[in-house]
Amino acid sequence: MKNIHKKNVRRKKGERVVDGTINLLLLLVGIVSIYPIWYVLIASVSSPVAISTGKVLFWPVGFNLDGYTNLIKNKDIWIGYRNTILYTAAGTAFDMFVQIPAAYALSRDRLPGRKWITTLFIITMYVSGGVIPKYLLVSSLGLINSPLSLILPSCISVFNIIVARSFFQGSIPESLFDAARIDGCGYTRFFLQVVLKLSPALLAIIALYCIQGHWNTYLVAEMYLYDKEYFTLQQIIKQITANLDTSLTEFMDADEMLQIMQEKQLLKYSVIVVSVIPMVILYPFIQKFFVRGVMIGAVKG
Amino acid sequence: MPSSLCPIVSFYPKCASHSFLRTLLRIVELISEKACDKMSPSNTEQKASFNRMIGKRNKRNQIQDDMKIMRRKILRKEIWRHRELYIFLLPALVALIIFSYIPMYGIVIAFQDVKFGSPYGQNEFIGLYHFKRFFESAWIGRILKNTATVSIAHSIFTWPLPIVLALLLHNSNSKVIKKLTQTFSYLPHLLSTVIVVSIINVFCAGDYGLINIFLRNAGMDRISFFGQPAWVVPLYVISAVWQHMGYEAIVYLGALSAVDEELMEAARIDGAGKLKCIWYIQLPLIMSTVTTMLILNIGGMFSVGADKMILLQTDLNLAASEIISTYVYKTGVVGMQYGFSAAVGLFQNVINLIMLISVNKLSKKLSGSSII
Repeated sequence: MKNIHKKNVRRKKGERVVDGTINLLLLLVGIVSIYPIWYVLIASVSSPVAISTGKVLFWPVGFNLDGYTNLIKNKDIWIGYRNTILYTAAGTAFDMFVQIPAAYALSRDRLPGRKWITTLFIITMYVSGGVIPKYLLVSSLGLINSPLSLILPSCISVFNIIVARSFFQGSIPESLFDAARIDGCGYTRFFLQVVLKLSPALLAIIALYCIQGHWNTYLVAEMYLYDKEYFTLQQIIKQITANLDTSLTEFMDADEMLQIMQEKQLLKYSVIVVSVIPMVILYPFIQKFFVRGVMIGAVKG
Repeated sequence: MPSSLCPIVSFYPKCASHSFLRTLLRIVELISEKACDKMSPSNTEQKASFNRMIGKRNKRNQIQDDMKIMRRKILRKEIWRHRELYIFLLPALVALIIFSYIPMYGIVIAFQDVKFGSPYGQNEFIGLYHFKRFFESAWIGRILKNTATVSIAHSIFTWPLPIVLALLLHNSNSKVIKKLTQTFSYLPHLLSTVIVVSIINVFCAGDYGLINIFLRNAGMDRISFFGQPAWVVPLYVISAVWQHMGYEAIVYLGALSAVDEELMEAARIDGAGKLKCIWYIQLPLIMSTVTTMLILNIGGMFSVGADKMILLQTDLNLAASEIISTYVYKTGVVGMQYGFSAAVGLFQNVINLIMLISVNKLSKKLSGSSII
């Protein structure tokens, strides 16, 4: 009896060590995940001298808002911000307008030709013309250096369509439509008034994917837009965070150069913070949709 | 549903252009008819008339013919009944054809001498000239090697770590820590590539980077992360793991939550510790998800995108950071050698497709189910 008790205690001790290790490791992962973002945040409000001597680690040192005052003066950033918001709003609306009705249509089993059309969509996931033919197409459509180049060509995401399709298949039975049809309701009205109202979670997930995609677009924008007037926020950030142009600094004395360097450094931190903020504000709302989105997407198409 | 309750403007014009709709339906009908009966319609008709001529038309044939006519009638009715759904599909199909299928045709420029200002895909045909130039160029060996290195390293490190994280999360007994880690580790997934590279820059820059400040304070030489080819792959892979680990763990967490609690209970009563439960119960039960993800990883291996590499690239680390996709971007969009660049892109796409198909075959053999 005593022996068993001893063994139990020992095992409990062992279990406790395992639990402790697991929690410790998790905490470590959490810290490593958030620390880079946290560091940028505290560095953006610290004094450059403290940063360059390595005093800024966990809390801001020499609190100041110089980076942000410089940022407000910088016109490019606000143009980029405005453009990105416009592109994201218009792009997301257009994406949803194209994708959601199509996904609903493809989710109806009785639709003749459904398999063929689905295959037509899925093929494009695996075979594509590549970057250059698409670029030439966009340019021959006259969309180069036009904001439409960021909205029209990317409006189809086969992945989103498949996610939405499997959602509709699972949650909107055809019998529901049959019931509505007896009351004299067509597909269009049924879709607008019943289907959309029954799937707010799906709409949120697809919108989330679209918003994320449009907000973060960089290389495509770099390819299609060359007027600074149309630049996206990401392009502006790239320009600001790229290393200091050395040709400019040759003609300055050391002090002046150091100051410009420091200003530029602070600007770098603050611009990162400012561009991440919208996502972080949205984040608590979308976190649960994240998980649901992966789960719906995991269902094989 | 009474119409007074729903005063709504439908964005799809119901009977806008009837004739157009009918032609469209006819096309869909033709396509799906082929799917419906294996014999092509013209063939059946011929057969029927032939039979009639000889006068050997037996009952069975007639029934078959009648059924076919019936089926076609039903099909036509079904298509007409679903007409609104075809209009739902129309915007997506138009966009798909314009922005996915026309560029597929546009790949012909890989075999053409592209002249500036000529209409889309219509140039002088020059055969495999661009491919020859690519295979004979001095860069090809290095580019292929870099692409392979980056993608293999990427797959090796981004595949197992999310599994470990998911197991840790699932077995943690502290709700607070679990929630905290989940929240923090999903967050980087939302950041854009530009921001991620900027953050790498904040930590690894030559003079202001946090790591170099530390090294200097410790009296060591600073490391030029962006100036040495050897650092390209580590920077790429570490940042990818940091950014996506939490998000990718979600899939495994889903698989783990399906593990039967009774099984765990039984094992615990038999005296198995937590580690044993993880090793002998949880891991084997999520193995199918694990292999699927691995196979998907390998299948997408050579499709490393240009975004991040272009941003990590400097003149000094070009020897390791030039991969196929960045080369396509630079020769095509920047250098305007459209034909050549399209040829290189086509080469990459073909390799991708071969990888994907062979991986799919492999998974069919191993697990009995195909991924695609």
